[in-house]
Amino acid sequence: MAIEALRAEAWRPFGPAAPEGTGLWRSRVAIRPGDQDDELMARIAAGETGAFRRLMDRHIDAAYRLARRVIGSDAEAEDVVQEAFLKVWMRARFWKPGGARFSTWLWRVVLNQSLDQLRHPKPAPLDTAPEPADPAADPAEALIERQDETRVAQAVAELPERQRAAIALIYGAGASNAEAAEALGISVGALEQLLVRARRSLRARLKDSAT
Amino acid sequence: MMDLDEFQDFLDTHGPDPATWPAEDRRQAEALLGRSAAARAALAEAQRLDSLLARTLATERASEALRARILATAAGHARPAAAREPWRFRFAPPWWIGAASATASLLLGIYVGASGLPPFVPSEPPPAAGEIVDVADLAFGAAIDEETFP
Repeated sequence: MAIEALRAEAWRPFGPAAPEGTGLWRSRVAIRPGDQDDELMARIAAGETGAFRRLMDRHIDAAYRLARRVIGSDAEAEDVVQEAFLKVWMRARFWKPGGARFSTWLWRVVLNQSLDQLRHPKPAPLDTAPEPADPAADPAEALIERQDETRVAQAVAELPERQRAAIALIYGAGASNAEAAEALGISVGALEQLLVRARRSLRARLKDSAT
Repeated sequence: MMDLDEFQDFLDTHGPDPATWPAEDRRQAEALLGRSAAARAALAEAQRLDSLLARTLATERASEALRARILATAAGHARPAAAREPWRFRFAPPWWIGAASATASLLLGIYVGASGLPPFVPSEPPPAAGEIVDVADLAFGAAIDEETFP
């Protein structure tokens, strides 16, 4: 799906603004029973910064992994995640509880911004390059594991962007196939096709790099 | 009956965790695993890839600096105002204003009636039908002439 189409879908879970401070909003909406994110969004809408911190703590790692894998740059991934959470803060009052899950919506926003970033890359600052690992500080087994992880990360980075996004959603964000399909705005069948191609490609690349 | 190629497609679609396999295909997959060493090797390879992906992609964490920056940025951003009632309702007078006005009018009427003040009588009779009346006379009285208001 084109970025524009994804972007158009991205705000669907939001509705008209709710009045502030009257308590009417909570009584009018159907908060999913037990959905902690909906409850936190209601509290954020009332201006609770503690609720915003808690919601951020629940989702920031998955959002960061997703952006990091799709973009491939730490600094730009951090910018994307910061922008996404700022949207959460600014638009919490417009959130429609009981609709899309917060996590799925957040992944979609992060994906949109990450893909946008790929098409319009900013010049990376020189001081954000990751520090090289010091092999001498690691035991041999840890070194082998790190080499494996480097090979996998490299193989994932070489996937086409939609396959990379699907893999990042499943393994990085912990999405189910259905959730990943929703975040990408495609059917579950289409997502499974992306995963099939991605896994085949990864298997082949890892075999090549091992020989 | 599922063959090895179909099993590999099945693994690529649903992953190597049998708990996530669809029930309708799982029986055939398990039957193939029972009779084919190549299928078992394919499953082991898929599990290794799965484990490597999880270990590589699921362990990164957002930095504390990023968390602090998000909180600071949010604190510095004023949020859009909430939806409000239209202004005419926000500035509507309280309910007792109407009752107070009616009471004041009643008291004034009683006072005027009791004090014997003469009723209002116009100083000039109204113009007859068809008579031309200067608009300025209506507004300011007949004494106003063009020198005062050229």
